[in-house]
Amino acid sequence: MSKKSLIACICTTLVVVLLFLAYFAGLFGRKTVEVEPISTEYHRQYIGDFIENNGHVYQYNTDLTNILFLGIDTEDTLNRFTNPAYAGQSDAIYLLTLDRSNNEARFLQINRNAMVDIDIFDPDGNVMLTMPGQICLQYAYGTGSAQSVWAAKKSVSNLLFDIPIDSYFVMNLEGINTINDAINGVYITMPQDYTVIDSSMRQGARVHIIGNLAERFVRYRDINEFNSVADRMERQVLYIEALLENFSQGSTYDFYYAIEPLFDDVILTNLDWHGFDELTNYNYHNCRVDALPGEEVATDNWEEFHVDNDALEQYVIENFYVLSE
Amino acid sequence: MNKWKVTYYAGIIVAVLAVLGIIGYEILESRRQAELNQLRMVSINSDYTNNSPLPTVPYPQGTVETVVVDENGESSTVVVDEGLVNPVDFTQLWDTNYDIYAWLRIPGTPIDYPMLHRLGSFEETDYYLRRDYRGEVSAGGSIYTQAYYNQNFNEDPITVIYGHHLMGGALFGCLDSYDHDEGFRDANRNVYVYMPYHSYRYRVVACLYRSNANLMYQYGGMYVEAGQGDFENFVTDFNNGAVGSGWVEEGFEASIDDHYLILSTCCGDTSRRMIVVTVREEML
Repeated sequence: MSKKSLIACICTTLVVVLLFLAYFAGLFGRKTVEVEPISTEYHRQYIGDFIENNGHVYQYNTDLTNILFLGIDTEDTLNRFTNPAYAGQSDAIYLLTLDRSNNEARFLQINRNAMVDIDIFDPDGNVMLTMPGQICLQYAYGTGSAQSVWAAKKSVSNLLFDIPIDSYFVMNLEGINTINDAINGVYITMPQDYTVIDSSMRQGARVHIIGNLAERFVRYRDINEFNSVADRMERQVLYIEALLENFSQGSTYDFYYAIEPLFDDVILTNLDWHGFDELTNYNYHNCRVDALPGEEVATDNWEEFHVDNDALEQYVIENFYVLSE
Repeated sequence: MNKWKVTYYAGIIVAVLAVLGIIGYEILESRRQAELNQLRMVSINSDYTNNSPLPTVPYPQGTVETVVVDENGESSTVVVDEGLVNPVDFTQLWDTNYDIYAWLRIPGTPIDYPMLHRLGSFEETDYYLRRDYRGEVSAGGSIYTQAYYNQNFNEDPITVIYGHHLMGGALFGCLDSYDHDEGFRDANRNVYVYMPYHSYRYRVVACLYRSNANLMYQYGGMYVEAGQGDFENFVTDFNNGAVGSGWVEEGFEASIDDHYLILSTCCGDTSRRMIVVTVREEML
């Protein structure tokens, strides 16, 4: 090659190399735009969709509807903010499960002394700390109204391995007599002698619970007797069964409009007209009433109920889940 | 031609082709990115419009009367703006995300969204800028307040709600109509905020374009106390037109006795923001 063409060759090559270098240098300086993924997986409302147990996979039984019933130990209106610890304890806790496939209803009694982790909230509704305590305290340590309901609902759901709770019906002490009178009372056949509550309540007697008999019947507890909570729970379930039977035999219209003025005061609920109407489709007479597995333990001052979590997990799987294919 | 020259020319051609090829690839790639972005914007919109998993909140029905008892014990019935009756079931919303603390609704517009805030470090102040109401990463984000600056909705004299301006009108996409559309303004004057214990009605009084400076930082610092220091500056600046420029309701004067809700969104120009100022009228 001639010298001139060699120089031309080198120059051209240099130019091309420089172009490449410039290009790649530009690349290093360039910011790569991050494409953030758009979430397409919809968040499940509850985690307990699938459970694995003993080598089998179970799926939540979507034929079930769960309604949480809470009775709050306070005379004040439920629909207001309260400072944490003053919202009232949920002394009556029942989970009503309705099975659409066979129109059966059943109750799960949740002992108010069941030991769980309680979230202590601050007045702004933020969790300040979490500590063990009786499950009835969770409602009290919320800030009242919807926030306490949600905290109590969450604690029951967490206790039962995160099954979904679809609706709630919360009532204060005033609600007992008020609702009872609104429906002209209920009739209950006494399964044992309760004459300590009222002289008419002999064993086997069919008593018309009206006026303040309702409150006495469901609230009475002999605090000097150990595990008197269990006895009270039995009476409460009797009452709720009788209430629901009365309701499903009567007219939804009459019942709903009798208690509707009490909403957001004595009653908090997210059941609407259709929810109540749906309740009438189920059979409450002598329906199954289950209790939490576990045992009462007396400590120095307070009663505690220690839940048997293994037995409870089995119970939840058998009653709320079906085998997944 | 001799061997070297052939090789030389061939080399040049290959090099030039390579460079052209790379440039071509880059152009196509950037075009693809632009298309992707376009698609993302569309799918963000459909996230909020067509296949929306967003919870729906019913509208209050009928008129509402409430019994008011005065100091003498005399009771009288007062008709309450039905829009103030709280239709939100927070127990359901909290099952999804406990950071949902309120609900914002401007009836008649697409603005019907949960309001979120994240309590945590200063770094998490804009946690919900790119997270949806479930807390999952999403380019559109949520409407949210900065918990660092706004901690007590009831007491704070200014609360600023942030939200993206999405094409197609989702989130705060329709707010610019307050500036230029008088009909829209008149039809959508009321803004409602629902919270667990209270509900509020605000009236839209201004739609302003301003700089990018954080409004709460400029006029409030960490916590704004009514009638003290920086909030007074906001009131003065607003009345002097120094907060921003745009439409202001005729005859409206800001005062330190009022509570303000400010909806803040972007406006195409990244150095400026658009705010809609509303004043609290009534609460339940």
